[in-house]
Amino acid sequence: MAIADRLGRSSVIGNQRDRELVTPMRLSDLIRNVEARILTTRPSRDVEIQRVYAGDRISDLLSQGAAKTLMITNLSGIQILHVAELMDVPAICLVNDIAPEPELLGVAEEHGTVLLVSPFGMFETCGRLYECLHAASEIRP
Amino acid sequence: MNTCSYTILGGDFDRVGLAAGSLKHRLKKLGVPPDALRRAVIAAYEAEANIVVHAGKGMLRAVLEPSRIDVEVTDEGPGIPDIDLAMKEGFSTASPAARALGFGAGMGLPNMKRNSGSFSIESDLQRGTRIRFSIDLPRQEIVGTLRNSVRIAGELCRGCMRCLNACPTRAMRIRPEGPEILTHLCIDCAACIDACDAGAVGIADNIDVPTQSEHALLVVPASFLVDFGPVVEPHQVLDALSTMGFRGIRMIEEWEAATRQAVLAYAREEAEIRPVLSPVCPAVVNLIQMRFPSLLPHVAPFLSAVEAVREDLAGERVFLGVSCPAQHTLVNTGRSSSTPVPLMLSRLRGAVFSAAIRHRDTATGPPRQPGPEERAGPDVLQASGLRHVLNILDKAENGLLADFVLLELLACEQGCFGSPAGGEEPFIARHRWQRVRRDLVRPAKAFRRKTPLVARAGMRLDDDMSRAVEKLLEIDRLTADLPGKNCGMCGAPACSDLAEDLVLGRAQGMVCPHRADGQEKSR
Repeated sequence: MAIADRLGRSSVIGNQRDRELVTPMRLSDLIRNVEARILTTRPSRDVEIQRVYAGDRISDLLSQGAAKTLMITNLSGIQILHVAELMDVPAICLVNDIAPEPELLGVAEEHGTVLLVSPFGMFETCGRLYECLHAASEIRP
Repeated sequence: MNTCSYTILGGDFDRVGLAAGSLKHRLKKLGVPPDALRRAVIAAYEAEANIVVHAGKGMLRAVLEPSRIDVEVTDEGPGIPDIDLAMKEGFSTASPAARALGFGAGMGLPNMKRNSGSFSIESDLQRGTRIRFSIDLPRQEIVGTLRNSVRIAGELCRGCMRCLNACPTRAMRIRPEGPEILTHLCIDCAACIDACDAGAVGIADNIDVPTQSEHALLVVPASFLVDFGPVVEPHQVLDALSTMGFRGIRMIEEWEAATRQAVLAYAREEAEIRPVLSPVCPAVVNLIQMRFPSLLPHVAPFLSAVEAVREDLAGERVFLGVSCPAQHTLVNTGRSSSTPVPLMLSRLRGAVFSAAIRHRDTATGPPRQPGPEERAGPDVLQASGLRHVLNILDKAENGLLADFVLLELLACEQGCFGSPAGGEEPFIARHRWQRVRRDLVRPAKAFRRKTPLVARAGMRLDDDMSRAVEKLLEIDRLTADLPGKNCGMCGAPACSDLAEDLVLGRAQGMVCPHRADGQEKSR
């Protein structure tokens, strides 16, 4: 219940608990540090990221998905995009340089979800993002 | 028809989430608040996924009640042998194929239960499984005063339709007998008044000019002092006013300056959410309550200057010169003998001007030194004009203004200096005021808001949820039928607005000029 509560509110921007965690960053600034490639055309500087969630189970991605959340996953089925759209998730990062099916790209483009692919595995991708988000939130007052 | 139902086919993994998506879309349009929406979507998705993963075919039905959403999910099959075990987190019987796609985490039923108010499941190995859950909807706050202070003189309307396009909330309609405002959409800004050259739209004005005997205090906006060109200077206006029998003259800017200062201190030292939104312009506050409710926690908890005057001078006899409908509404709502009386200063213009000219030679003050420009600092964004305000609020809602500590947004260009109540060009008026501001503004108090701001329900199709759903479907159907030119010639700003007016029976005499058959006339 506690988790659900917290996430329920995190869809509201400026949520205090989230803000304590990190200061929002532009997706374009964030991915520079991960060396991820953007596969879709929506400009990533328009997308703001406040938290990152990594997971490989649909139920987890669903209950943790929220606005301003970057989702990292090994899954590359069309289902992750449906989940992202349902939960207002702005961007998904695939890992291990995986090449997604063209169909996945098409649906992402259509929904306006930013699709990224990181050259690193899940562990290193998350590590780099974690460092980057927290370094950014410490600089600001 | 307050029910929507979706058929779900087993094994169709690519389509999981489409039913939940349709439901989300529907609920969102009906104004279900974000938290309840989120819960409903998660539970519906899990139920849908369960059918796809485990059953041959199933059905998701959602029934919308005024206080909750009831969802029933039934499937044809195979049934659950041990429900207690199935409810355990992590337990799953999903196939390896489903697991490879990320399903089968054993979290489906627990997730449904966690996100719903009431939850029940029954299963029969012959007939299949039936799950019922409901999501409670919070009581929708209806703001007590949906009154507004924009008034219309229909006989003056020339039908130019400028107001139709000027209104930021699409509240304006041009009927054959003249303009009409849908008050539940009106945020009391002055956009329509500003747009109207014919004088058909104006600010409510309901009292007589105060007479000398009343010995009241007069509170005026600075824009009135700089409204007489270079001929009559601000201090001469003040002198002229004081000859008209008022006990004293004060300026709204005194409370505005105090509020600004308090808000800035709050934003820099106390606020936990950034950027802070200044409550200084009541029309912008109305706009946030209606169009950007997710930003309400960002609004600094202070009264606007006009409300502060009301609070500070309670019990005294006060006339308050208002510059816009939003201010008028704040002064006029819940008015009693101990609260200020709103006054349209345009009524005093002539008298002030002649008094000022008469006393010109005797009442010349010292030459004014230009004061410093009122600047708050690099962390404060000041912007005015509705077009810009809308863009900025949009960006704030998307979290793109985290580099600002405070946003001070004013609906009229150059703030109250651009209000249509004044006659001077806004930039000139503000500049003239900056010259004398320091000499004229006396200290005043800022006031904390005691009751928090609440979101304002914009559109209620019907009190009865089932009828609301029917109407929504009808509006969607009609909108698709209309040409989509959004030309405004029917009198509504966009085709979807005409469709809504038609369905809600408020489209008296409104016809789409692009539709020769005139079908909608008969509706």
